[in-house]
Amino acid sequence: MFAIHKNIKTGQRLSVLALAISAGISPALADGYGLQNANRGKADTSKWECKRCTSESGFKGSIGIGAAYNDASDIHFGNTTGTDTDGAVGHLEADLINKSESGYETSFTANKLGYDTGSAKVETGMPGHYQIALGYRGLANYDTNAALTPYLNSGDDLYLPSNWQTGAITSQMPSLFDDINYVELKSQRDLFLLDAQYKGTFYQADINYQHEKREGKRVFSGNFLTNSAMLAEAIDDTTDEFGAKIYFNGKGWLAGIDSSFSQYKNDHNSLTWQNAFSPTFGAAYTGQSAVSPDNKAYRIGANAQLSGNGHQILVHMGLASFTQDEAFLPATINGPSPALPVTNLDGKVDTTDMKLKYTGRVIRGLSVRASYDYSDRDNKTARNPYPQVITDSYYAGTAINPEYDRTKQQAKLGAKYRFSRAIYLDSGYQYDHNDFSDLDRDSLQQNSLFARLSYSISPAWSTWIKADFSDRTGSAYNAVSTTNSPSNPYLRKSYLADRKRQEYQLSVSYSPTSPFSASANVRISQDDYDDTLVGLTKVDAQGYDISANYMFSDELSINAYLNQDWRDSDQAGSSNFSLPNWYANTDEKSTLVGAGIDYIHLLDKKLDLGFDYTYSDGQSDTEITQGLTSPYGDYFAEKHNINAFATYQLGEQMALRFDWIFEHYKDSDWLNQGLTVDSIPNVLIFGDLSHDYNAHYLGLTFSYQL
Amino acid sequence: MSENMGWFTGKLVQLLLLTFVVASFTTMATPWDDKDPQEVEAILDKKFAEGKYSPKGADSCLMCHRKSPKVMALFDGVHGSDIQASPMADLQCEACHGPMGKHNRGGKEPMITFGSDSPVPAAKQNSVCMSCHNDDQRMAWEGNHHDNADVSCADCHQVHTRHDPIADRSTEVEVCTSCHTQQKADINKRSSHPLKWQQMVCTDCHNPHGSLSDANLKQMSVNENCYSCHAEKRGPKLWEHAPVTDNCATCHNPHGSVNEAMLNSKPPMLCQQCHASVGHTSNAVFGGKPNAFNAGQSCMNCHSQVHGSNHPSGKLLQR
Repeated sequence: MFAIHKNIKTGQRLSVLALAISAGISPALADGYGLQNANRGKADTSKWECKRCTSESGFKGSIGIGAAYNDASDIHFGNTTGTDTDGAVGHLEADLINKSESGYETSFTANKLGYDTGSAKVETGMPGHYQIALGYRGLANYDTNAALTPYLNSGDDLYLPSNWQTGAITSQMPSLFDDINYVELKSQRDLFLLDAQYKGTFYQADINYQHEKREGKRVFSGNFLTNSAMLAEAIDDTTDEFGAKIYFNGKGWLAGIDSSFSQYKNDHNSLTWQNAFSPTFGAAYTGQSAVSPDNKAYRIGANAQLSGNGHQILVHMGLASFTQDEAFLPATINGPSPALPVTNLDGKVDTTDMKLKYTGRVIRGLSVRASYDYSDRDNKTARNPYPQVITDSYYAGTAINPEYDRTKQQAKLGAKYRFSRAIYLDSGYQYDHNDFSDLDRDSLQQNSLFARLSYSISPAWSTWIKADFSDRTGSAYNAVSTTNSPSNPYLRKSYLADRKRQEYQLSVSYSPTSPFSASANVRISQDDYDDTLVGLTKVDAQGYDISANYMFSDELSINAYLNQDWRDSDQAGSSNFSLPNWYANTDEKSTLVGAGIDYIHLLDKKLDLGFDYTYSDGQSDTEITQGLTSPYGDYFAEKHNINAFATYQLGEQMALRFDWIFEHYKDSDWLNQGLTVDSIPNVLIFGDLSHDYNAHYLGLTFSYQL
Repeated sequence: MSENMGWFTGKLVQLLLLTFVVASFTTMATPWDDKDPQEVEAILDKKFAEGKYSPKGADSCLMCHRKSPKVMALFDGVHGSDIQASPMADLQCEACHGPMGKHNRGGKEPMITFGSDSPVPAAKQNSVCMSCHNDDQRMAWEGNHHDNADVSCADCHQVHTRHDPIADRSTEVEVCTSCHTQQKADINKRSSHPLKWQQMVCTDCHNPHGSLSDANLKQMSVNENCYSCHAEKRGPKLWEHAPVTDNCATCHNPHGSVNEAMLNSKPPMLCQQCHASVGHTSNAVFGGKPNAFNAGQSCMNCHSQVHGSNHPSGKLLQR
């Protein structure tokens, strides 16, 4: 039935080069059972008819429709269910495939289609030869429907009711509590995808296009001098991305080009809002902020892989360009705006990436790898003096835009040595070198070492231990002078500071042929910013997890897990521009507990049951000490979640599935816990945004098997 | 600098000692190291080199194995069809499981098998798969994290099926987090990318088969990875926030955090890890009575454009 394909001998020049490289490095150490190494000399395939191979053509699969009740009184529950519809909601499920005798296939899959997070895909073509796919995918994020604001959205504007009376402080805004309304902070992404692949005998090509539309609202803050208001900024934007690649391959080599073009378009040009406060001075009745500008990104990269005799070389070279030429907003909309040096940024950042990587087996049991990476960010945007009208209120001279150029280089050496079948050691060294412009340090260097010992104690027991060390230092720390006010000389910005990092991990797993299996992991890490007096000084993190699984039978299995981790960070500050005189300590703790049971083939193989429970709890406790110690309020999030289903086979082709999701969620954040919109005199906030709900989702899905 | 080098040298010595300890105990007898897998491997090596393929290909195998639904499920998927470059279009079952040799005489002679219970080392198992699947998506497999950790293709993938479960978005995250347990904890925290309910999956950002980037990211850098969904942050903008252009992970943990917005720390503390100048940024911000620094959006009450601003007057990221 099946024909035997001959190997295609193309690209012989590259193959010869690959062979030459591999032969030049060391003697042959290639092993394995790759098809290229198969000894076909004695293979007589003339009678290989494959009569017993069965390949069914026609329609196969299942299709289902579902209806559910969803409790979305707090839309945050939608992050779990995939919809914020309160009440009845319907969806489509499908997994259909049609195969023709010739091997042509068309498939249609749908998952939760009808929900905000639904997806669907149609694929057609000859698998292994060419395929075209058309897809849709939704993503949604639901923050809150309890934010309170007097502002109303219209296009780029956020305006106040016509009868609004300003106040010097929030409690003096007379109509505030009459004018506030609930606003939903959520976002929805709709992605449409088109992909076409073609695979020839020695090459393959792929072109794809993706259109993404995003809508929703997110929190933004608009301020005038020392007054501010939380605003629900409208999100309406699209991203279009086009990609194309082609790769060629032959014996011992693979090479190709990847390219992409992406365009971001924001339907909004600015965010303009009325001042809810009485202007401190001047006529600052309206503020205007920039929004994300339209931008474009181009990338082209070439990759080549040469391999043979157990050696492999990988080469990459890539160029990317990021551009943006959105027209500038005026420096202020209150009064005459100072002239700008240019009408738009004509921004351009080019990046260059290069990589060279070698992997190979040097002697039996020892494999080595070495790589060099180069990455450069070159900001080609013109630098100009821009007038600074601070918060649409007063002129504060001009400032020149920084370029933040950066060149990163990284060298890695690694080796894996197998002492026996049971034990191996994987270790490596890495050197990172970064050069910057316009930062407090011109360069950063980091030396890193790691070792991982893996040991299969017995067929059932295995363990590994890993240690990582890194030491970051750099050139002289000279605080930048372009800031409006100088930095404390003892400050070391955390991302540029000297740092010693240690990380240790231990993993043990038990996986015998018996029904019980389990694993445990422990990890500890410490970041010590040893040269920092002001700034982040230390981060300690620890964590462990255990999990177990027991299969009573092929029908019944249970599982359980527990994860806990802690992250404690210390930092210091100085209120008198000198040595530290206050300290902040933040202790974070999180716990995850889960248990599940699967019981299938009940009631004469008609009923399957599944039940999963998870509990997660995370908290962060912050304490500030400056002579006296003052703790912050509550900050936590606690969630109980039950996810259960039952599938009942109504007949040979029909099935009914019942889903139940229950969630208890409660959180608190000292940024807004217990606050009302006027709790802060100079900040008009959204009020208390904490959640506390019990919500249910009950779903019924009918499916039909073709 | 010299103090740093001293610390570093100390750690190097510790590492070398660890290596020595490991090397020492491998010289001891290893009763746990059952000889059978090694013998099996030797037989398989010999069989592969001899190349005694069956007289009738798959038909020879299916003489006995056709009763196994698991075996026959191969024909539901691409590996069992006769499409271009499929194993069935080449050496059929023996393309992956090696030459039959004398296996058909009682089934006692081993064949190449796959998965964590197989006596065949992961690298040798993978050599079978990679002999066909060395394409642009897997070109950096050699020496990547999963290769180094002895993960075999069959630890995650199944080929005797129409649907490889790992290729199904509904099961992918569960498979990955069975080993990556720290990430399992993270995706259940207060803020995280929506991985818990599979709106997103691990392979949206990572290539588990290796990539040219750190952490097997699909793009060349952390930021380009983030920009693939957050294109609005890509810029370039007139006023950039330096750490934003450098590395999003300076402030965010993309897998999840107990803090809102996947931040590594809560503002104002996060901001004060870099900002301590004359004036308000240098003061201790106490909890208690709500004010513009400890409530609402904290520092972002005024500096809301932390990802950069394209407003001419936006140098302080207030516009």
